[in-house]
Amino acid sequence: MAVRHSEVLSPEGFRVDGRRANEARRLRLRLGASPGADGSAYVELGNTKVLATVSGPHESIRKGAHDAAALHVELTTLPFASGVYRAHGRSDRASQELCAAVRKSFEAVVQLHLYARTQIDVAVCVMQTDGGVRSAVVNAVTLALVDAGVAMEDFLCACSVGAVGGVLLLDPNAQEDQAGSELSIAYLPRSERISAVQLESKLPASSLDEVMNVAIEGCKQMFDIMRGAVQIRTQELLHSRGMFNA
Amino acid sequence: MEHMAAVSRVFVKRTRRGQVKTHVRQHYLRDDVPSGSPHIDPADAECRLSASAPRYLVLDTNVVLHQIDLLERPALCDVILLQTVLDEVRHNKSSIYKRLRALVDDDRRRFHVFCNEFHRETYTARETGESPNDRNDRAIRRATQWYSRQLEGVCEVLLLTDDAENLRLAREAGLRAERVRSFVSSLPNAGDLIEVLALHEEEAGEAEAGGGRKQNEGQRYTPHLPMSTISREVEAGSLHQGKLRVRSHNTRQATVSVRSVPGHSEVLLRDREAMNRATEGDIVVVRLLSEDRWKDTNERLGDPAADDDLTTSETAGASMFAADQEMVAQQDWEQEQQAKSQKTSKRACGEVVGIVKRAWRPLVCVLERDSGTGNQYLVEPVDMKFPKINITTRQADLLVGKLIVVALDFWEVSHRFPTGHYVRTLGNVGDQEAESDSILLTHDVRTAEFSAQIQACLPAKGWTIPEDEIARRTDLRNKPGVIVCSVDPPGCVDIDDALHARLLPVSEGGKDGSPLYECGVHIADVGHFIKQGTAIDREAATRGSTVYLTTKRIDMVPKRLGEDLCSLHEQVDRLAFSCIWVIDEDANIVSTRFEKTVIRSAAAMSYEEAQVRMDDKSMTDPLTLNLRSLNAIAKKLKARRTAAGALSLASPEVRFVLDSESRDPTDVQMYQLRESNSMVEEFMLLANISVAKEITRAFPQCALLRRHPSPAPGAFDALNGYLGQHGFQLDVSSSLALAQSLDECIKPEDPYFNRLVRILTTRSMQQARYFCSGSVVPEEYLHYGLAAPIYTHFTSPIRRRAQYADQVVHRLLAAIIGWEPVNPETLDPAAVNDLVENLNTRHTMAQHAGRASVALFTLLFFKEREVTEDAYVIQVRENGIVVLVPRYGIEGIVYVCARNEKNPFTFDNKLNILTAPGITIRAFDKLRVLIRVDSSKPHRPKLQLSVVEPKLPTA
Repeated sequence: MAVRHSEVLSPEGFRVDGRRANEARRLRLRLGASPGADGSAYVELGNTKVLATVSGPHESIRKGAHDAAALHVELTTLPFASGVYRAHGRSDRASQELCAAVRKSFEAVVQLHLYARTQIDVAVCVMQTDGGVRSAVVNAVTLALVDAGVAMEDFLCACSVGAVGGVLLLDPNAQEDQAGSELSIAYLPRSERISAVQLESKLPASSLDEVMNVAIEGCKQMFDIMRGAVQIRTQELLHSRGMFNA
Repeated sequence: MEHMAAVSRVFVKRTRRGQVKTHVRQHYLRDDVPSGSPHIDPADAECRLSASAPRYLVLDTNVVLHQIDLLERPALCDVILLQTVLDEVRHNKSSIYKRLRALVDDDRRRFHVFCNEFHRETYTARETGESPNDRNDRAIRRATQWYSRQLEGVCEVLLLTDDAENLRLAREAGLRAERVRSFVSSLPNAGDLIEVLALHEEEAGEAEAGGGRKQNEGQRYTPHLPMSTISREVEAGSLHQGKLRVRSHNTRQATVSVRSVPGHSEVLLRDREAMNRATEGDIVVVRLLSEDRWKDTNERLGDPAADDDLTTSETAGASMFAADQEMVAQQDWEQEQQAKSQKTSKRACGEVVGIVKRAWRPLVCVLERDSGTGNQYLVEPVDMKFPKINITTRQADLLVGKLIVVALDFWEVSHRFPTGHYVRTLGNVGDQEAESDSILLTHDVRTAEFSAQIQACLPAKGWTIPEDEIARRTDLRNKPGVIVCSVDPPGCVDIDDALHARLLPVSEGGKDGSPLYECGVHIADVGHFIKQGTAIDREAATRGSTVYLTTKRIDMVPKRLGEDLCSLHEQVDRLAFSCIWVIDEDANIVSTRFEKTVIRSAAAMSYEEAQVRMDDKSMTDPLTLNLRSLNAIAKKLKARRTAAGALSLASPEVRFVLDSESRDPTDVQMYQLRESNSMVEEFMLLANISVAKEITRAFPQCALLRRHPSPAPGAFDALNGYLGQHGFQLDVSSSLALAQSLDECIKPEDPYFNRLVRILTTRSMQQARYFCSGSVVPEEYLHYGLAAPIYTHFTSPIRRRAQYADQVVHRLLAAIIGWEPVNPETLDPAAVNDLVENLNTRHTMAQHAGRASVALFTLLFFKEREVTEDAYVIQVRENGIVVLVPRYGIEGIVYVCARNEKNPFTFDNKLNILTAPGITIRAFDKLRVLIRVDSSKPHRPKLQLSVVEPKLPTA
């Protein structure tokens, strides 16, 4: 059900789902979605739904370097996540690649050296997919880590951009995604650094700068919403402990 | 994002693998959808709708689909087009969607597109049990209601619909709604507009009751089966789907190409009843008749002269207005071959039971004055493959003797002919301009001027090559020994190729000291001016090709580009894309390179001038020497190609000598070929082949190539059967064998015989086509006619066959040499396939239009002449023969007996020979025919051929 090139953006400037080119999908966030875990966050990016839970830092059961915490990331996709039944394993290549990418990005942001001799386990469950899974996962893990109180240098926000027939679309959904190439980046909004870039198909080198700029703008939009969610969660917690009377 | 709300749409679909997939789509609703009206959005500076308009019109989908001709009249302004309507139109008919978009783009018309599906207050969710159609109608009413509320008291909002139910519901909801006809009648210039209104089937009944044409009682045709039955039965194999082609020599019959009937590639529809209201090009579903009702393969030519007023049975072959002569004959050859190659001697016959898709487009017609009943008239399409059409008009007197454009609307079961409506007038019948316009329209050629946006893509006047551009390129202007020159037809203004050859100094020579030559082909660098994705590029891609008519041409790119900026004129600096080889004495290629260059042509010669230089032994200037080296190498290249089996083919094309003032044809000439033609051709072929290899090496999946498939098995059986009677035989086992046996088909007393055989051989072969390298296995890249394993078009980006294909190839090659990157779209096999499809259609259409134009001029030429000329029989049938007149390149049918008369000849249907006492007619026999224009129908003159020698017996 790929969208044809000419149709991704109507002459009136609307995409198939009613967004304009520079609008991301609705981002819905809930911190502490899974109260039993040390930290958790549920993220809905349009129809892409992801739950991330964090356990730790706790004592490392594995041997290894003891001067910093070890970060483990595990990802499962529900069998009916894409709308058609498919038995995803933890070991399928796409999940493994995504796990590795998420771990690498977060190793640079989480202050692992503060937690020597420990490990931090991150479990991500992809419940529904509709494009932008990578961005949703990164955003969910950031919030879950924040919820767990793990020290980080900065937020890590992710967003993707699709280049379809010469048009740049922020945060493409699965329908738009099939029609062109997609670039997704993970961005540190406060230090204004890029932590990861992922591009799976060809893109003219000359247009890379422009695409990156659009993606960074998207990440900033994500950041505003994520920071808002963190503030609300913090107020809730303070309130529940009677330490905040606003 | 705070102005947005989201709803989800969930639906279930079966995937290709048979799994069931749940699709969940988020759909955003918003408040900031522009309404286009300054009353509602005063802050919006870009409102399309006027503030002073007394009313805005909202159109229903059926109005857009049926009344697009009305909408295109400037009378209707301030129209709101709903997204729902646009989507429906796009899915139903893309041609109308394109026309609608053109209207929206026209600022003067004030059409505003309102995205009602994305507006929070007009979004309409589908209710359970509601059909998509009903939902769409409801969405349209809801949007109308929204506008009415917003504009209450300021401006009226009127919904135009021809759907009775929608009209009723809209009025119930308190909306202003009207039928198109009643709305148009209320306008001040109603008379004019009513003409172009399409009739609806439901309206037709009313019109008839009101004193229209008396139709035969009851149902003339069998009603079509419902769509659901059709798709089920086609899947089950009891019905067969295919494209309908009306037979060229007998327009009352048609064939449907099918794949699902074992042993038959097509099904014959024997009469109009079997065609059951389907017309040329429609995708139809047929049911086979029982085998005892099938037909023998050999048939009569379509019967001459219409009998009663109501039938259309003119034979397309004899009319020079008919679309395309060569095609006509070609199709017939093919049909004959296919029939013969099949073991069974009977042809499958069938009848149409349903039409999946109509191929209806506007047709050029001529009104028949005598056909009028009340306001209803019959018009006869110029393209004989279409039946006559009923139209309603009040201005019949004005339309007589004119070429008019008519659009088809519907064809009722009880009507002998379909119903259509008048669109516009082109001009007088027989008028050169009007007839040319008619040809262009018939072949779907875009004739609009290039827009300002497109012109703006070209550099300003007085452009010269910038210094930095020269610095990037190889400069061949002052390179010692390099003399670039071009050889073209006389008077050529758009020179797109130039050549050079030089003997390399010994230091750069071959290992054993043998001399090496450097030869270059320099092609105008269109890529420098046309960048991918620009307005000019998109326009060129749609047009695909320049169309050449006898007196004018319809450019693919603006004239200035082809005739000035790109054209490699004499003594002018120009940008070129060069293909340069090092070639040894025996014309073996030692190395090849591709470069962007700057050149200055030393001379732009005509073929004749070049030939004179080469032949004149006393001339020894460098330019002439350059030409001689080129020619020497070209001869060797040609010899090698011939040895590999390249075919020398022929067509009966002729050229008109036109009166300089009136542009009327005064004489006809054959094209003359010189050695210098062949020299240029050889190098162009070499360049195309080299480029084809290079782009396929670099882009195996998405290179744009051209192939010419080997002839279908049995394709030459018919021709060989004819030739056998004259003691010749073609060996078709390989192209080499074919080329050799063609050379042997010589009658010493008749020099034209060989050429005639070549013409018919050409027709027995398949058409060359563009294709995307990934879509075909490499063994099938073959270009049969040129005996080249791989081929493309690189050398003609602006001229003859000025093809968009050449430009795509230029881009690919530029990417390979690292000049500039290509867009991903050029490398997407699916997109390349789409492009190729369009290019092939455009290319064929351009060819056909060119030939139709030649046919038109042939007719004008014979208007005041009667000529007796030699002719050759190229086909023999039971009641007539098809002859070709070489002097004028025309062919036509000569009947040996009139309809319903006793045939004085007996027909041998094995050997295809007609015999009568004292006379035998075989294929390839030479006759003398009288050519004149038959003006018995003043509104539609046609060329008539009759045999004067030998004298034919009459019944």
